[in-house]
This record gives sequence, structure tokens and C-alpha cells, in this order.
Amino acid sequence: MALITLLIITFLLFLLVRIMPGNPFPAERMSAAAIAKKRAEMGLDNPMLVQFWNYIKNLIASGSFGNGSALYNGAPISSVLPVAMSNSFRIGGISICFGVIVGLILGIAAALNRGKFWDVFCTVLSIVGVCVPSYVFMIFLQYFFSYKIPAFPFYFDSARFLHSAIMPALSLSLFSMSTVARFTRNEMVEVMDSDYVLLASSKGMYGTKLVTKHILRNALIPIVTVIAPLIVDLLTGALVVEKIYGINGIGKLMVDSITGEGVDYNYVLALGILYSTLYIGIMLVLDIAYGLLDPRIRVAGNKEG
Amino acid sequence: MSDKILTVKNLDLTFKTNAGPVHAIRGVNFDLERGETVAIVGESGSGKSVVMKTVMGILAGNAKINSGEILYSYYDEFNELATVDILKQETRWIRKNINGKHISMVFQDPMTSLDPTMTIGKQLMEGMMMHMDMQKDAARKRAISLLAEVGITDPEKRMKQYPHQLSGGMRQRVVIAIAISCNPELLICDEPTTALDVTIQAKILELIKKLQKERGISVIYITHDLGVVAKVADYVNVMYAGKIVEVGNIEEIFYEPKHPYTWGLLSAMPDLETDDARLYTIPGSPPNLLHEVKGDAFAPRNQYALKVDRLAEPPMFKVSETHYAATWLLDPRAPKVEMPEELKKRIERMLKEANADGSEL
Amino acid sequence: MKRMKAIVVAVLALAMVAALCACGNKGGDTPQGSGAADGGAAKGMTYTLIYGNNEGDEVALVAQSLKDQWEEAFPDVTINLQPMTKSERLEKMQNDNYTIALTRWGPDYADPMTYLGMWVTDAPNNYGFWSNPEYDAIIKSASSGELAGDYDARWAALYDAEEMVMKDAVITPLYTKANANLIADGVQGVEFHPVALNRVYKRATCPSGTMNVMFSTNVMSLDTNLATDGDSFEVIADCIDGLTQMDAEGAAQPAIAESWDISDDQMTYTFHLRKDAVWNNGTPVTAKDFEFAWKLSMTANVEYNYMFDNTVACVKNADAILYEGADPETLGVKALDDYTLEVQLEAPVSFFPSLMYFPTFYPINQAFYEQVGADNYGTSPETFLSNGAFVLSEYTPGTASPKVVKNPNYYDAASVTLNGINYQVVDGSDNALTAFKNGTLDISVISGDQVGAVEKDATLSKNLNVTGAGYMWYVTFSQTKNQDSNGDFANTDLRLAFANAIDREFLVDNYVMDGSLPTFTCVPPQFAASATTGEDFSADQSRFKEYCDYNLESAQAHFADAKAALGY
Repeated sequence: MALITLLIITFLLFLLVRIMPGNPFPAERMSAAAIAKKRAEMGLDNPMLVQFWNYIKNLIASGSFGNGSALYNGAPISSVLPVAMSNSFRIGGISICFGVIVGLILGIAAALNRGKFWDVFCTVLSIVGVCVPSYVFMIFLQYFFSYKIPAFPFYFDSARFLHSAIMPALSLSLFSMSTVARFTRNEMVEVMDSDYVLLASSKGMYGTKLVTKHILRNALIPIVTVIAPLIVDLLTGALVVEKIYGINGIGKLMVDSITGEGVDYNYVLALGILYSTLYIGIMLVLDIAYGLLDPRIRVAGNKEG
Repeated sequence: MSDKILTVKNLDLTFKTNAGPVHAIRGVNFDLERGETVAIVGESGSGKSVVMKTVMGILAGNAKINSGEILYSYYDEFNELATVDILKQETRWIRKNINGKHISMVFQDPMTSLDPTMTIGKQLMEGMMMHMDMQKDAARKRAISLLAEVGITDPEKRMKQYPHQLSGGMRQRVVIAIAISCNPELLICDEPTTALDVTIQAKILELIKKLQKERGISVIYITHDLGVVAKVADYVNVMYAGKIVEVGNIEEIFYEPKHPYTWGLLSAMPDLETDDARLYTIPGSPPNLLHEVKGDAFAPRNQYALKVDRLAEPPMFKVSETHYAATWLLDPRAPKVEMPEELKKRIERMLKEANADGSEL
Repeated sequence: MKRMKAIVVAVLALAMVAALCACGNKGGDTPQGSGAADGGAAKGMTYTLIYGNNEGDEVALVAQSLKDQWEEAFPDVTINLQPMTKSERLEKMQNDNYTIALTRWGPDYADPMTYLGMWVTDAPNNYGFWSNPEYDAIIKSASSGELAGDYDARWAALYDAEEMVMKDAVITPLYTKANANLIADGVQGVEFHPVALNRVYKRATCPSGTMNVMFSTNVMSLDTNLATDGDSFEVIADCIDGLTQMDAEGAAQPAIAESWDISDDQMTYTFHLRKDAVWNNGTPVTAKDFEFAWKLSMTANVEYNYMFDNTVACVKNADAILYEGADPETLGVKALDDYTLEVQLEAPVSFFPSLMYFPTFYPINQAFYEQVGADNYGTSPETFLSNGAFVLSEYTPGTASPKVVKNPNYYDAASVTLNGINYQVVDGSDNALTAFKNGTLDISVISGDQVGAVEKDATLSKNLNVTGAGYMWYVTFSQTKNQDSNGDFANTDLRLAFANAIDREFLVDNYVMDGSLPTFTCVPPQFAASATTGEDFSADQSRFKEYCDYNLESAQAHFADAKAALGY
């Protein structure tokens, strides 16, 4: 099922990208004849389905996404992507871990101290984090911690990866931290008001035991739903932050492939397939996670009355 | 007569809400003797659940206790009788020492009372492992026997199942099993059968009765269903607008009610025998406790209200050793007012049936 | 099923956004120009001006100013602005589906022909589809015909050609772009050029030994056959020397070629290569490397191989190979022996030696190329060979920080003082200014609106250094009736009217602000010098001023004529 979805998405992207005006290569100095010749070479005059068939054939047979035609001309995409992916994934990974963990802590603290200072503080923080774009925060960090206080590299330095990754990861984590905090707080509050928590209390459960054994497990289920798209969002690279900081990431590749001297079909498709695979993959993992957390959703056999 | 296990004196509390303070409990006095079954009856919003939650110490955070004492007596580890004021204790202490261990609660909706992500077995074993310091294996064995005791078939299998895999009746049995797991002395049942089918209702009530007898537990029933009251209670407290308006043993309340509210409650029970096509209802609705009540809270809906009812609250008038009612009608200066005709007839019918059956009420 | 729907919708949305990005504001807020589908009767004089939305902030401002100036000068006229991506705009211009376009052209080599060649009939960059056989004849003769041999006659004839373009207001020039550079203290010897190679570092020094230089776009490719952008050329030129190299004045000096002989008819060049030039894997640089690279270029079908043809280098048979499918082996380049390269031309090209410092003509070692494979060549330091002042030390496609280090085996290593160059791709000049102040960048380019502040800054103002960027911004008019135009601009008076209504000084002073030069010739100043006199082709900016000077009277007069002729 997932494979068919992927195929359909790829085909739609394929069509869409070819409908866009402009040639997929720099053509300013090419005569009309040269342009026509190049288009023929790239197979762009064949009917759409034939083109698509060739693309899929090539992809499956040699695992190749083709070469760039407007972006990094001639370089095989499958050699360009891994570096970009590695950068984006690592930074995104740090970002989501930090964001989720801190968000959870904040949210739990807020829920347990409902109505008091900590709750208000977390709410304000959440609003700021959701409203302030990550790149504004990035510029802010860059100004204070690279310029005023030279603690971090001004631009991304792949030789000092961890050192360079902290500022972008931090600024990217703001949104997910705030979202997770808000969600956690709301879910926990709802759970804390539920009957089964009341029963657990009446059994004598209190404090950490109550929170970890009863409240968290139930509150976490919806939070997992929120985290999945956040993960995809971060893994696919935050474009502006990548551009500001000079990170070779897949977000930047996506933007460059569209706004360069020609829409680079192969890159758009390769990235589209990557994004879709990521998204579908994460949703699958999410489904499994759901089943683990919530027994009601498991496709189990024994349902006896 | 055995000793008092629970005494509630002058309980008065207010909820802080966004709309303002709601004076939910306006002076409740009530007690329970060891081994007895007491029912607290009243409409929704009368405050019955709140009183019991206060006893359990599981009130919501925005409640403020204005005054009162809740004295609970129990035999401690040295087998000595100890009495403690629950209101003066820290929540942590209550959880550790009272909840589950001495006083347990059974809730209304079995669909939502159990943690959906925990197995039945775990939920049963949790309390035992905490209060009774049991090891996992011992706790499991005991849990299985508890399930059998409450009438669940195939208990080993059930241990590993989740709440959503059981029916409503079974879930309630599980809740009861959890409640009795640590051998409490007092069981509070907050409308335990309201959410269940009528056929299951009877079974659950019987189960509680049986457990009560076998283990010597005292039970408090909170309910609005007089049919349930009739089945299980020794004593009845009628609550209205945060106060107890009438208290007595079951015969006194059913056959000789003195408070107009109780008359209204009894009249409102649907009866197949009456010719009347319409159902009787008490006109009006309970007061909004956001505003302080002047005089008798029931006065606006009371067709027998006297002028004095709007000025001063009636004290508890004694009708017999066990029977008290808070209504100005019992004041020697008040005009003689009889209960409404239909009610009189109904009670006569009930008495006749009871005597004919030879069964106790 | 629900999940699949959600995923399809999500990706459709993504693709939709991508499509919209590329389509610009097509059908968005700005309505289409006059004529629309039928190209027929328009409501009054409404014209659409298209321009790029990703070529610099000031472009939008310039477009807006043009609109304001034209609408003020001609109350009857309404201008609609339509921003779009470069490739879309290019397609529209090349297919002549527009009315007015704001565009730019950068010189590829230091001769006026790089501009004048644009307006030949059917040339790919003749966006107005203007056609003048007399003009065509002059250009052809000057490129590959009689005039090619007589340098001074050719130079004079080019002025005649230029006059034709200006008189007909085929295009109207606006300004020649400059870069407002910030150069750190102690940095010396960096050579800035407006043509071919933007910056040369062979003779530069900097206090720390390693220079940090800003790029504004990514390096696209280090394969000389495939590279098309200035940043790529700069890095390639750091690492590879061609037959000649560029000196501080932009003239050609010997590089790999120690000397060369030119035949009497000026159509055969014999280059004598030095024997001590080596690639950084130890193999010597030989004439075969040039022959291989040039023939490879024939099949690459990438923009820049046009430089071999009869409009530029006139290499023998290049036209036939590129445009008529002849065998690349017949190209007029031959390695007579390891160190002698013979090149045959179809016509004399006076600036041929300086053409040779353009990366398209650089050598590639065949053995190495075939070993790493065409796809991988130039994608990392391991798949790239350097023979120049620097060696590529860090690069992958997409990296924002390519690096080169000094080449110890360079035949002229003694005169190279820098230890290395670290490039940094910087997006957004706010960042660049801070990076400069921080010391992270030694050479930085700032935007026009930052120039004012820097000039007033006591510590920074001395670092400001304005250099010509070479390319010229101009306005082109479509002279046909097409999808987007009702053909009004076929009328010369209308074009002249519009040309005379632009106050270029005002434009530059208020919107560009980075030292760019208002221009009144269609070949910009300061890049093409005469080989014999050394004089800048466009030194005299008043030559064609009557056709494009800011003169409202003249504009109104032309406009009135146009209006009458068009029937408004």
C-alpha cells in the first residue's frame, strides 16, 4: 500500500514539475536549436508516461536519481544527497530530541502546577516558541553567541560538526519544544481530571508513581501523534536556518532546485520521493508506537465480553 | 450497639470557581456505625459525592474547607482503636494510610474508572503491593482469588486482559475487587449501578452485600435511586443543597417521611399502580449555590413552605431516636401538615405488599 | 485508506507550493498585461513589465521605480508589474511572450561583441525579435568575416552597429552593476574583474595567510564542461591554469602556454606549452589535455560551449559540430606533440589570447577523467585535478564552504603568497556585514542599502571598495504581437519615448545605491578595452545620449507620435 502511494505521489510530482514554465537547465546563452537539442537529449519531448516509465526503470534498476541538470550540473544526485541528508538528519535529530525532552518536562511541570507560576511561565514560553520563527531565533543566537561572544562558529563548519550544530539545532527545537509542552500540559490536565486517575488516587496512588504509571502513559498517546509530523518537519530541513547558517542540507537543496537557473526536475523528484518516504515511514513507526502504548488500538484477537 | 467508624461534624466547604465561590456543603453532620449500611440520597448537585470525596481526600484542588471535622476510627497495627481527623491530615498521609487501606471507593462509571492502558491484573496488584508490601507473586495469587470472589469467571485469563475487553458489569466487579483488595473497613459506593443494565444492577448490589457480610465492611451508598436504597440501606440520609435535611432508618424514611423534600422524592418514584398519566415532579430546580442561601434552601420549591422558611433555616427536629428532619413543619408552633394524598396511598400499598410478602423492606 | 488520502493530499500540497514558487505570481495579484489571449484591442495603454524575483532585492525596487517614472511621464499609460523566477522569465523572453522585461547581461569576454552579438536576427538573446539585415551583416563580418582581420576597422564598425541598436531603442540600458565590497585591513592584491573571472588571488596577500571570501551562491560544478556560474569559474580558475592567464589589468599573459605564434592570416595559433606544469597527481600537463577537454566540450551541450562557435572563438568546425552534428574529432585543435598545441580558426579573432583564460578552454587530463568517470569528475578533491596556484582541498556539491590550499607544485608557486582560500556561501547580506565585522570574512559584498551606513561608520568606511561587477541591467521591449503583448512596442517612437522617460541617476542613487553606474550605451563601460589604443569602448557615455537620456520633452514628443501612429 505504501509503495503504491509513493508511486502515485512521484507521478503527480513528475507531472507538476514538467508543467512549470522554464527549462530544467541554464539556457540563457543557448540558441533555440541548442535548447531543442538538449531537451531531446533529456527525453523531455517524449510523452509523459514514457518519461515516467524511463525514470522509474532507471531508479529501480540502478538506484539512481539521475544527475543534476540545473543544480550541481552533472553530479549524480545519489552522491549529493547523502551528505545533505546526513547534515539535516543529524541536526534535526538533535533538535527533536532536545525539543521533545524539554517540552515534555515543561509540559509535565506545568500540568502538575496548574494555575501557579510555573504553568503560566510555560504557557508564555510556548506561545513565544510557536510564534517566533526559527530563523529569527537563529539570527539572534548568531549575533550573541558568535559575534558578541565568540562561543560558536559563525557559519556551519563541517569539521567541527557538534560545535556548529548547537545553534541551529537549538533554534529549530523551539517550535517542537513549545508544541510538545503545550500538548503535554493539556493532555495531562485532561487525564488528571479523569475517573481512572481518581480511582488510582482512591487506591492510594500519589506523587511520582501516580504520574508515571497512570497519567503519563495515557497522556503520551496523543503526544506521539504530534511528534511525528514534527520529526518529518525537522528532518526535511529548515530552509531559512540552513541558508543563514550555510548548512548543506536537504531543505536548502529543495529550495535551490526550484529557484535556481531552471527547475531541476531530477532533484525535485528525488527530494519529493525522499520526503514522502520519510513521511510514510514515520507514520508507519507511529502506528506501531501507538499499538505499543495504547492496548485499545492493538489488533488483538481476544475480545471477550 | 457497635462503635462509630466515621463521624462527619459540621462539614462546610466552598469551591473557588471562575464564576465565583460556590458554597457547596453548608454544614453536614452524619455518622456511621461499624457494620452498617448508610445511603445518602439526593438530586444531582446536592453535594453527596463531594462529601464522600472529602472523606477520601480526593477533592479537586479548588476546594476550600471552611470548617468541620471528619473523624475516622480504626484499629491500628497494635490493635488499638485510633481516631484521626482526616481534614487535618496531609494528602500524602491520607493516600498512604487511608485510601485503599481503610476506606475504599467504588465509582459510578465502570467504563472510565479503569486505566485503559493497564492490565486488570496490574491494576489489582498495584494497591496490594503498596499497602500490604506484598511481593509480585503473592499479589498475583491474591488478585486471582479476589477476581473469583467477585464472581468473575476464568480469573487467570482476565488478569492479562485490558479493561476494554470486559463488559460493563465485569468492569464494575473488577473495581469492587480493587476496592476490597486491601481489606478496608469502609467502602464508599458512589452510584455504583447507575451506569449498568437493570439486570446487572441487582447482581452487583448482591455482590456488595455478600462481601459486606463476609468481611464485616461498613458501606456508604451514594445514590439518587430510591429503589437501590430500598434494597441495601439500613439508614438513609437525605441531602439537599449541601445539607442533610432528613435522617432516619429505612422504615422511618419510607413509611413515615417528615420533610417535604422526602415526600417529593418518594412521590417522584414511577409506580405502575397509579392511574395518573403524568409523572410527578418536584417543581423548580435546586438553588445555585453561587449565591448564599437565606432561610430554607428548599423553600422556593416547597408547596408547604411557611413564611418562616424564607427567613431562617430550620434546625434538625427530633422525630424519634433515629429519625430527625430539618423542617419548620415539625416545630410545635407550625400548622399540622400531612403528606400528600397520593403518597399516603402509595405508602399504604407498599405496607400491604410488604406484609403480604412477609419480606422485610 | 484515510491515511493514504492524507499523505497524498499532503504531498500534493507540497508539490503545489513548489509549483507556485516557480510560477511566481502568475495569475496572482498582478493581472496580465494588455492583450491577454486575443492580443487585440486593449483598454488604453496597459503594459506588463516582467522581472526576476530572486535576483536581488533592488530589482523589485528598480521595477517599481520604472513603473512610477513611466506612469508619471505618460498619464495614459498603466504598467503592471509581474515578478517571476529567472528561468520562467528567460523562457518568456526567448520565446518573445512578453511586453517589457527588466533583465541583465554579463560579459563573457572582454570585447564589445559579447553584447552586440545579442541583437543579430534570431540570436538566442535577441529578446525583442528585432531584425536588421545591415546590422547582421556588420556583426557577421566583425566576428568571422572581413572585418575580423582589420582590428581598427572592426572597432569603428562596431560603433556603427551600436548606433543602430540605440537609435531603434531595441533595448534601453539602465545601469552597470557594481559590487560594494568590504575588504579587511591588510588584504592586498586581490584583482577584481568585471568579466570572465570575477576575482583572481594569485598575487594576493592577507595577514593570516588564509583568506576568507564570500560567495553569494553555491558553486555548481567544477567540471569545466558543465560549469555555468561565476562562482564555479572562480574556484576552477584558482586551481587550474589555461593557456593564458589574466593579469591585473585584465589582459592575457602566458600561463601554461609560454608563448604562441600567430600565422599571418591570424587564423592559426601555435601554442608552446611550458614543460614544468604538472597536475597534482604528478602527471605533467600536456597539449593532449587541451585537445581532450575542448573536444569533450563539444558534446556536453551546456550553455558555455557556444564560446567555441563563430560568434566568439571561431574555432574551425565548431559551428558544424555544435549545430550540424559533425564529428567532434574534426574540431580545429590538435596536439602536435606533448607541448605544442595548434588551434585553427575560421576567422581572425583579435581577442583570442584573452579568451583562453576563460575556464571553458582549460585542460582536462583524459586518463584521470576516464578513471573517475564523467559523472564523478569534479565532485570532490579526489575526483578533481589541479594544476594551478591552488589545489582543491574541500568540496562536495552543495557545500557552503569550499576550500583551496596553496599548490606547492605550481610552476610559479614562488609568487603565490596565500596559504589558502576559504570560501563561504552567505545568503543575505545582513549576515555578511556581521560576518565581516566579526572577522569571519575578509572579503564581503554588502547590499546597496547597507552602503550608506557603512560609509558613515568610522571603522568600516575605509574597508569599502566598490568594483565593477560587469553586468549591465537593461530594459528590453518585445517588438511583436504575442500572447502577452498587443505589439504596441513595434513602434520605434514608443520605445524611444520610454527610453527617454527614465532618470537613471535617480534610479541608481535611490534604489541601487552600491556604486553602480548609470549607463547610456548598450555596451557598458569599463570592461572592453581596445587592443591597440587601450581605450574603453564605452568611455564616451554621451555618444548615444539623445536616444536614452532623461529628457521629458523628447519623451513626450516621441510619445505623441507613437500615440497617433497606434491610433490611441
